[in-house]
Amino acid sequence: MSAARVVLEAMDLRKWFPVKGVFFTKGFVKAVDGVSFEVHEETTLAIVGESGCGKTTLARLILRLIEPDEGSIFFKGVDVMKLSGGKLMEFRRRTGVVFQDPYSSLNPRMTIYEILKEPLETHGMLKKIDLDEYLVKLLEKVGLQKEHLYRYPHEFSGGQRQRIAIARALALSPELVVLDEPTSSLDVSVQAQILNMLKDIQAADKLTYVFITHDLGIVRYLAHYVAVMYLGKIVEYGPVEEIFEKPLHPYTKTLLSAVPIPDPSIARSRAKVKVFGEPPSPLNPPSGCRFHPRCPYALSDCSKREVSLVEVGKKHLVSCILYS
Amino acid sequence: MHSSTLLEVKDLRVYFYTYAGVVKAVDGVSLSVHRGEILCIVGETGCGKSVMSRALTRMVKPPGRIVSGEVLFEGVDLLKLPEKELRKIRGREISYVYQDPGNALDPLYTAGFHVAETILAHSSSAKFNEAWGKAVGIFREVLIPDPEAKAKSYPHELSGGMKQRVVIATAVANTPKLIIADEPTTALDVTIQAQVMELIRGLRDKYSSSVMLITHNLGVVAEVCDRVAVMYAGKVVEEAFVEELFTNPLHPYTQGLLEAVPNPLKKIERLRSIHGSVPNMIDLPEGCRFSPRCPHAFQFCNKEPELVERSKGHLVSCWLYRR
Repeated sequence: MSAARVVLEAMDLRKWFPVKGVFFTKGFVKAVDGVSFEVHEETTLAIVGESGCGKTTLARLILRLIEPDEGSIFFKGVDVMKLSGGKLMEFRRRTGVVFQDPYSSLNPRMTIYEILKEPLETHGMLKKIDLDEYLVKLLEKVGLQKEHLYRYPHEFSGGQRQRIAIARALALSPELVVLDEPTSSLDVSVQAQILNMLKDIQAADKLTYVFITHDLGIVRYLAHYVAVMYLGKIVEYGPVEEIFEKPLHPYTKTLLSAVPIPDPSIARSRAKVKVFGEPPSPLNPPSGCRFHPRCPYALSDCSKREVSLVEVGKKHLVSCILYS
Repeated sequence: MHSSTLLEVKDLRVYFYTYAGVVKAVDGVSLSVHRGEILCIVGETGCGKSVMSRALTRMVKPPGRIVSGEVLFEGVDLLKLPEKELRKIRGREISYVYQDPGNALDPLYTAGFHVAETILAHSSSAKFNEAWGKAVGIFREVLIPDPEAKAKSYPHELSGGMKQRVVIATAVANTPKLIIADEPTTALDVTIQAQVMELIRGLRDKYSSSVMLITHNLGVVAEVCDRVAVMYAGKVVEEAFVEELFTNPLHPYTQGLLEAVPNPLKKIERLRSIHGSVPNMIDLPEGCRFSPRCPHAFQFCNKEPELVERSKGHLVSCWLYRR
C-alpha cells in the first residue's frame, strides 16, 4: 500500500466535446478540463463524482480509448500519447478495463470461451499457453467454473456477467485495471461479493486499480486514494481515510453529508452541510470556482477567481479559496 | 403517532402466468401502514416489492393477476371495489411516485398541466385556471424555483431532480392519505437524492400523509423511515421499527444485507457477502426461500416458516426463532 512508485500520471488532461449547431459549433462540453493526478503501484485510486462530472470520460482518456485535446499521460514513465503500433499494443496488454453495464459489454453471440480467448489471440499469446488450462484458471480466479466456458452471456446473472468481464480484463495479466462503476447495476449482496473479489485479486496479483464510482461507501472500502471531481475538475485529492475523516473542500463535505448512511443512529444525528440547487450544465460552467453557486461557504471572490489544486497535507490537495 | 392503521394488506398473492411457468412475484404478503408513518419496503431486484405496491390499487397488467388477498384501506377492501370506485381512490387517496420521472411525465404536456389535470380529475367543480393556480402553489411547496415559469416548461426542459419534484407535486396535488414512492431517488445523484428525501419527509409532516417508500438502498431506509419491511423472493421476511432493525436484525437475510453495505463513515476491513444469488422465481426452493443461501440453514428449513412477532412490533419469519 505504501509503495511509492507511480504507475500512471495524468498531466493537465483536457477533453472538450463540441456541440454542433446548424452552421457552426455552438460551444463545448468541458467534460474533462485540466485534470492531473498520479496513481501509485498496488493502490486503488477512486475517482468519485456525480453524473456528468466527467469521470467516465477521464477513464477513457487514461486508457487512450479517446484522444485528449491537451495534456499527457505517463504509464510507468512512458508517454502514452506518443505510442503507436507495437508499443501501443504493449500498453493495451498491460492495461485492462471493466465497464459499467455487463449486459452491453459482452457480445451476446460469443461464448465465454470466445470472449476470453479474443484478447489472448489479439496479443499473440495463444502459442505461449495451454489455452484450456489457462481459461479454467482465469475463471476460477473470478469465482466461476469450467462448465461455464461454453455458455453464452444471456445464461448468466448480472453478477456473473460482471465476473466474466473482470476475467476478460485480467486475461492478459495487466498491471493497471480501470473499473468504471463495475457494481452500480448490481444488488448489494452481489456487489459485496464482487468488491471482496476485486480486493483479493488486487492483493494476489499486485494490481493497480483506477476505480470510477459515485458510491462513497465503495470508495471507503476499496480505495487508498480518492479524487473528487466536480464539473470536469478535481476539487480534492488525497488519502481516503484523511479525506473521509477531514474533508476540506465544501463539495466533498456536501457529498459526504448527502450520502445516506446505513445506520439510523448516525444518519439522523450527524451534522449535515446542505447543498442548494443542482449541478449546472457542463456546457456553460460557472465562472471562477465551478461550485460557487451551490457552495454554502462561497465568498464574493469565488466567482472571479479560479483556484488551482494546492497541497494542504501529505499528498492531500484541494482547490478552494478557503485553503489557498 | 402510530395509533391507527390506514392500510392493511392480508396474504396478498400476485402471480404472473408466463410461458415459462408461474412467477410467484408476491406470495403471501401481509403488512400494515399506520397513519402518518413512513414505511420502507426494502429488498433486492425481483423480490416483488414494486409489483406488491402496484397490486394495492389493482394496477397489475396481464399476464400478472392478483390471485388472492385483501387490501383494506380504511376498512374497505380495494381488491373487491368496482373499478369506478377505485378510480376515485387512485390519485386522490393513494398516489404514486415512480422511479423514473422521465417516463412518468408525458412529454407533450407542460409540467403544470400534469398537476392541474390530477386536481381536475378528482374535482367536479374546479375550473382549469383555478387548478393551474393551485398547481403553481404546489410547485412552490415542493421547492421548485421560479414555479410560474417552471409550470409552463415541458418535461425535456427540466433536469432529473426537477422532474421528480414535478412527479411528487402530482402525487400530493390532492393531499392523499397514502403516498407510494417506488424507488423515487434511484435515478438521481446523491446531493439531489438528499434534497428529494427531505422533501418527502417534509410533505409527510405537512399533510400528515403516510408514505410507503420502496427502495433497495439501506442508507435511504436508515435516513428517512419509521418502520421497515424486508422482502425476499415475494415474501416479507422481517418487519421492525427502523432502530430495532438496524441494531437487532433477526433474519439471516437482513443480517447479511446490513453487513454487505459499505458504510462511508466507517473503515471496514471486509464486507460480508451473501453467497449465491436470488432464486429463480419460477422454480423456488422448497420451504424457506432463503435457505439455500443461509449460513444457519438446518433441517427445519425445508418447511415454510411463518411471520411471527418476536417482540413488540418486530416480526420475523425464520425457524431459528421458533424453537
